[in-house]
Amino acid sequence: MKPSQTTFEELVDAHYAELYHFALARCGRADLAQDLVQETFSRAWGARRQLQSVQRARAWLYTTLRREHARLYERQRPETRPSEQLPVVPVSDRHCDPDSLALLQVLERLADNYREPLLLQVLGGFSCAEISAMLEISENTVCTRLYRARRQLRSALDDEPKKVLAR
Amino acid sequence: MNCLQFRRKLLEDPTRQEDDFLTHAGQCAGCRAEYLRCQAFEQELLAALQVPPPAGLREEIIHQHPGRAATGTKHRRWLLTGLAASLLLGIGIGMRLTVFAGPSLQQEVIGHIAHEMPLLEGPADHWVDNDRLRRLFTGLGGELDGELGRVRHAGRCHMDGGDGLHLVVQGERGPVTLLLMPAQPVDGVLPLQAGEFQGVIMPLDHGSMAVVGNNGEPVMHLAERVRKSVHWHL
Ligand SMILES: [Zn+2]
Ligand SMILES: [Zn+2]
Repeated sequence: MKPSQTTFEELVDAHYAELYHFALARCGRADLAQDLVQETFSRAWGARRQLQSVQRARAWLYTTLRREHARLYERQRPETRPSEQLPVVPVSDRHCDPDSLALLQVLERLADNYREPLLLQVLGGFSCAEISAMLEISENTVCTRLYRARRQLRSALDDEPKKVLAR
Repeated sequence: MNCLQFRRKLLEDPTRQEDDFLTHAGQCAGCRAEYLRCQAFEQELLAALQVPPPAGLREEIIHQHPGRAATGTKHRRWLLTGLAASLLLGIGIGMRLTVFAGPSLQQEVIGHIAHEMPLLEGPADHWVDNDRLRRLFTGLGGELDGELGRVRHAGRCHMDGGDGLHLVVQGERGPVTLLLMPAQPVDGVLPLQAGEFQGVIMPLDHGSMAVVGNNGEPVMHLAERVRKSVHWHL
């Protein structure tokens, strides 16, 4: 089957919003998330001839954004580097819906190696096998982390929904 | 597939389409309820993450890249592609002849510009805002203090020795490329000439910078201005 051909503009339209969601969930800051997405498409422009198959493009874009995000933290001087978890996110700036707020709060308490595959699956729609290739860890490990991530999210929400709502 | 296996698989990936997985959901009421609950939860999670992107982000991305190359630039592009190819060839032969001498910094700079030729093409109808520029500098451990004029592209690029910033500003004779290379020191000012391009590589307080424009562009003037506005804290 012939892969569908896309122009750069179509590529942007198809993916910029979901990449922004991924970037925001990873770095927690709207301005940085915007930079990450722009950087990613900057690189995509350079590689646009290889990105004409839609499915390959999606994995490429997420991988590139992850790399840019990692570089962002490598580059930061120690005093500005956030502690190993996410930077403190003013979640309330992003959402006013209390259910979403509660969900984001528990998501941010997940360990990063659980949160990242989960975000790739929920936002990018990647399978365990695809995530395994992107993160360069075994498929079994990815499956286990996804399973535990969802278990932890649910039990955290079951435990304290009232507390979060009351804030 | 038994219920235990089903529930494990469900939490690994609720969107699975495997036959035995879907068959179990169809046949077992308890697991079907769990399946539906899980799908609803995924939808909630997705909705929570879908914060609307800032207005204008799409336009900024599209305008950063001249997707609509003007016909007049086609010829230039071929010239440059040829130039880059010959430079690459030169690099290949050079490496075989002298094992220790890599390509010159001038060759690398021209190669980099040629590789990202589309950045110089198309009409300049969108300018990078100063906040974004400053963030790019901060991200690399630098500081921009002052204005660089009208910047039509700004991004971080991989360069020999480490990351740098690749800017394209509007000059008097068309686009001018600025490559800020904090990890690439030079001993003195190196002139640069290739085809219809001319420019200069000069040292900064950390590393160096290349300023390359069309023939006749007063690059030294711009280089001086950049040198005064850019500081690295590395
Ligand atoms: Zn069952
Ligand atoms: Zn570049």
